[in-house]
Amino acid sequence: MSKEIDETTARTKHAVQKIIDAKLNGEKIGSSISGSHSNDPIYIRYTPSTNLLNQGSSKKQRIIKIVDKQEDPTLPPSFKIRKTPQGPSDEAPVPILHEETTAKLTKKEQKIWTIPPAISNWKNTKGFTISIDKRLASTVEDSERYEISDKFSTLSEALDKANKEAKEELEMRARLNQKLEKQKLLENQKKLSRIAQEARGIPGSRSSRRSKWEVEDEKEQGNREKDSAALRREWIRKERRRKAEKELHTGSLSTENKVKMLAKEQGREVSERVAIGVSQNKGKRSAENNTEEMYDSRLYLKAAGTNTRHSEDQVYDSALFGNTSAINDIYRAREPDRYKGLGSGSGSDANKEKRKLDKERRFDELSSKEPTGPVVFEKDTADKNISLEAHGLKTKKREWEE
Amino acid sequence: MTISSYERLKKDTKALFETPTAAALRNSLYNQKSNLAYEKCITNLSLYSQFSQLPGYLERKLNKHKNILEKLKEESPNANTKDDLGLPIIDGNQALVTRSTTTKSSALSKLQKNQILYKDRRSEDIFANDLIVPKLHKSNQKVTQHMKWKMFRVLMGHTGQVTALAFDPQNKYFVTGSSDRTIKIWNLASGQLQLTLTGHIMAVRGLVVSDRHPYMFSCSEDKSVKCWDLEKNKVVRDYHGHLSSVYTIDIHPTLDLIVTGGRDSSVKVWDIRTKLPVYTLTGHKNTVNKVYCRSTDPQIISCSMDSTVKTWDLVAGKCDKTLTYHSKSVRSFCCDETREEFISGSADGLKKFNLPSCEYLQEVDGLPHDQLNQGNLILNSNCCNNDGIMFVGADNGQYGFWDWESGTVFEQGTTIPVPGSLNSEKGILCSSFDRSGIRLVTGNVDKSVRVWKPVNE
Repeated sequence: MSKEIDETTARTKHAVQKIIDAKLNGEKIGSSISGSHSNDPIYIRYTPSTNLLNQGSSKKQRIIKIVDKQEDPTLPPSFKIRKTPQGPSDEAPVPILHEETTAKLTKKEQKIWTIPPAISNWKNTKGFTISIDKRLASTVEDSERYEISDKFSTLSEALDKANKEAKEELEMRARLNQKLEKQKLLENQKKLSRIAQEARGIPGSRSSRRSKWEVEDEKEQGNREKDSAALRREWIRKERRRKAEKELHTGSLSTENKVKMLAKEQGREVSERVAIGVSQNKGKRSAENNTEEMYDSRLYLKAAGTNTRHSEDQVYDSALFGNTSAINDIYRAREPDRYKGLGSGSGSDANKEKRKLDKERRFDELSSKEPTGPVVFEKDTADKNISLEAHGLKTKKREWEE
Repeated sequence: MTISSYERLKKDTKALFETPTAAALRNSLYNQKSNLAYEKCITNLSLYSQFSQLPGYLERKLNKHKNILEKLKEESPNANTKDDLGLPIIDGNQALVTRSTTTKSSALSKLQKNQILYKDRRSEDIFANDLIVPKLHKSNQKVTQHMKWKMFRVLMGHTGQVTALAFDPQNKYFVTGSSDRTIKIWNLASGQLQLTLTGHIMAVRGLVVSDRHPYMFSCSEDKSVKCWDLEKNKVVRDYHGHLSSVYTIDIHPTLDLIVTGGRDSSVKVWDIRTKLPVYTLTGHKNTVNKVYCRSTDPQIISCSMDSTVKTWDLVAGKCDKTLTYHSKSVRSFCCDETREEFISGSADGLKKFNLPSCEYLQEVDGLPHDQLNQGNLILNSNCCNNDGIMFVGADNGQYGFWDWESGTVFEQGTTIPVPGSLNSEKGILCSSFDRSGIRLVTGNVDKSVRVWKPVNE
């Protein structure tokens, strides 16, 4: 055994060493053919053919020397070196000695595994006509997969029905409620009208006047046309006088007050600040020179605007209600110190007095509860019915006045 | 086949099967077997010589490439039966008669001889091709009793799956390579981590420690093969040339050569000292999974994903034999040098071959596995020791211990993954018996290295 090993080792070593040596020396294995190539000239004895001899060449035989043409080793190769494709391998085909483990599919199995071609119901870019069975084949599985059971429809029907019933019920209830409310309102109105009639019974105001007319009408009916015409004229005269008086009164008022009055007549109340259509600049500038009206300064000087104008977006040099900002409108509890000084211009004496009082701590209980927050309103605990009645009375009165 | 040769064939068959002895034989065969087997018998044994009478130049070509196909030796044709061109003489009744008689007698003798030879064969194998019938049989093998093997140590330390294993010649240490790109050296007796070597930039797939040098060789998925000096713990050489990941490496036991194989489906032979690729052995059609070096011919054996095992002639630098007995990728094989046999493992089973001639000896038992439901059982690694024990580790964590002689499993099981790892990380990637053969080390997917020993029950 060891002998065999030694022998194979030696043999292999020899073979391998040969290859290694060749590789180390940069030689190509099996390049012995190139060794035969030498620069020695070859001499050939050339005998021309008989035909040529007849044409009259002088020499019968020649000796030809063949020498390799000197090549410039630096020149690029004149032929393209191509790799030859690998030929058939030396080895003989090896017999396959195992059984094929993958069994062939039966037709049935093949049928199971067939995948129908993908056919879109939306795209057919090439415009092929696709037979309906192909379409079905590609979609039939999907339709099976997404089959919806009947119970869904019954469920949705039931839900719809329930929804309808609930709506009807609600409507009925609403109608009933409405009826009840109407009834209540009517009752209330009757009550109110009764109260109003009672109130009308009391003398004064228009109601009495109206009753007078009624009396007059009755008189009219009594064929006293002369008197009635006179009365009418007198009433018209009265009305005119009243109107003139009113106009006189309003003419003396400022625009602001006029607007306020108008608003009041319409049943609205307008604060001092927001009298619609009556802009009044109460800023510093107006305070300084009240007579001067508001103008955009750019109307007069081009340069003037550059100082005041800050950005492109700013159209006017200053805001119309610049200083009357919303902040002033918000109610804030004033600090007690400032509040103290409000009464007297300089108010140093008063302050002194106040401090003195503070120090004395006479109103300990009161001072502990300083009014820091906004005024707190208390809920009206009066009888609801009465308040409602009072309200009703008021509204009725107003209605009547109008 | 020419018309004349066909006629001759017809005559021969007639002569063969109309003689009384032949008829008796045939009847006996007929009783045993089906028609198909019978036909096989004819084509296989008696008429082979007729088919093989090819023109001389073709025959020579065939002989040039003759390998395992040749099993029935042809009778050497006489010089007289061939003319100048090397073609058999067509004319002449006498020659035909003589030959027919000789073939007849030879065929008969072969039949009888085979009947004796195959009497312990399975009945369905009698007429099968000699090549695919295993030479040995379980019936006449006695099963030796072995000790139970138990895992007694789990070594954690790697941060990737352990893909390579090797033992040092003194049996003091063993080396593991991992997909965490490191090589770790462990003490075999204590299981202590001795050293961690870094240098590869991808998973280390193969390791081998030289018996005759202070060197360790490693190969990696980064296409590099490195030579480590174990005295300095440094890389001293790089073997550059593989075109893709290098999956396996082995060192020649007597020469200063290393052999590597990898994903570029080539086997490369390197000179250790000069770093030169001595040979690039091509022939595999897919990734080479394992190479193994022997001191005697065949000096290199390799197995591949193309489901073949090839033996290589190191002197000539070419393929010697190709074994196509497997139908699935052969991931691993192991050689028993004392018995001169090797067992190759694939998803379709384990097969035993004898060595110089690479004859198919035996179909080795497989692990229990439900192929229909769980797919193929991939055998990742197998190794053997001198006591006639073979270990096989599978990709799904199954393992088994085999009795080499009989090819039967005497112990089997499934590894339990280390706590904290997934259930799927059970696979055994590499395995090796130590030099004494009484310790087994396996590298697992769950990053653990496991040490096994035999225990008395």
